[in-house]
Amino acid sequence: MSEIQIKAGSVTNAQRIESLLKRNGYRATIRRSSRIAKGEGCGYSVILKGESGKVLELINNSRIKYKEFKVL
Amino acid sequence: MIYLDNSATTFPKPKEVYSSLVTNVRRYSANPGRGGYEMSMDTADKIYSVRENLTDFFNAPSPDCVSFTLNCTYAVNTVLKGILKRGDHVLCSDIEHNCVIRPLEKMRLNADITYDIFKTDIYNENATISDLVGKIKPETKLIICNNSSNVFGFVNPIEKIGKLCKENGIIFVVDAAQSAGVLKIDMRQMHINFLCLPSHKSLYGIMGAGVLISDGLFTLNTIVEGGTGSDSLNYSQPSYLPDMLESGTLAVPAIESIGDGLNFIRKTGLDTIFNHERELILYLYKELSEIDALKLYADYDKLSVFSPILSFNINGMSSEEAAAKLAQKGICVRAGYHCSALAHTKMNTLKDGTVRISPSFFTTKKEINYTISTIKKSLSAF
Repeated sequence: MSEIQIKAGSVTNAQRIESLLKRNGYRATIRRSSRIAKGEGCGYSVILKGESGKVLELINNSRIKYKEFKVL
Repeated sequence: MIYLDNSATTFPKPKEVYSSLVTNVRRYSANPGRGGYEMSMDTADKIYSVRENLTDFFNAPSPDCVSFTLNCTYAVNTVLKGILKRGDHVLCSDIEHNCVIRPLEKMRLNADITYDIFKTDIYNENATISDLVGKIKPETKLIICNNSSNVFGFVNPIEKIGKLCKENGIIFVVDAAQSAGVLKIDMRQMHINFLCLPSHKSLYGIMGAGVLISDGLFTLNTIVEGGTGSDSLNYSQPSYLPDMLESGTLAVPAIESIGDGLNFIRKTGLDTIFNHERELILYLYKELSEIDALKLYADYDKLSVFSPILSFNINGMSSEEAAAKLAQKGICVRAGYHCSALAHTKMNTLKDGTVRISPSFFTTKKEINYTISTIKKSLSAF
């Protein structure tokens, strides 16, 4: 189990990711992204604990756009 | 007061809408999608829940395809001006609201587009489709029509038009200002690419917001750009929905009220709402059609479906005078042209407009009876 951060461009995309994760049994929360990537500006991240490979596969299959997938 | 101007805006609202409004303004009043603190996140969750609710209710692809606008007119303009390019041809029906014909006319005068108007046959859907098919050109990019007329309640066969659009690779836009919350609308089944809605009519929200639901297949050129709370260091507008179309602070209380209105509609049942309003209109039609001094504009008992709107005129009197007389008796109806030059042209009511009666789910038969008897009693005085 790893702590995972999925950075989303907008709060709506973060909410879509959170909703997807919760439907699949993950406990996910949305936070304001603490570190802003160069040139990007504001954004939101979804934080959860899980197996990174499975979570990444789930997100990619959903086709919901995200900016960064990071194991903390 | 008897309020029969629900096609302009519904009144009263369901009690849940009123009570939630106060709670929402107290608890969810931070700016959504901007802050990371609890109330901002809670407000964002509330807004997202309305996106989900609308997605489910209209069978849209996903919540990000739901963009909130200032009103339904703004939603229509956002699509038309965002997708049409020089040389495109557009078709619209002959019962459109000015929110459709005015942007089209503006673009035509700018020599950007051309458009034609297809003729609706209120008693024969196939005749409507036949006229529409005859007007499609190779350069026809988009067909836009209302689901129902805001003056007469006549319904366009949007499922058949959607199928036609799908078969011909034409974008289909529906203005559902008078039908959302009364008639069943299924974006996928009806092949609707863009659906435009107001908050304050039969969705039973308050005034202040509109909704543009996209199928997610088309990128629009934006007509307004600004702060979205996302990609803030980028000088360019985000290219993803809904941020692309939601610059500036959202009308949070109005959007939240859409959710409460939708919950009321779900709890009550769309069929129950439609049947109640349909019965009122048919009863009104039957009673008014027996008055010689009144002119009605359709045989409502021969229409397979209609929105709860009935227009009439009193012989020898302008619609404004008639509405003013009814207002003196506490009956609120709308007179004039109802922002629809096309519908009045079609029905030959350009001289005086019409008096329009539009009940809601909260209108009672007793109120309709009072209205009928007031019209009858007042005819001599008229």
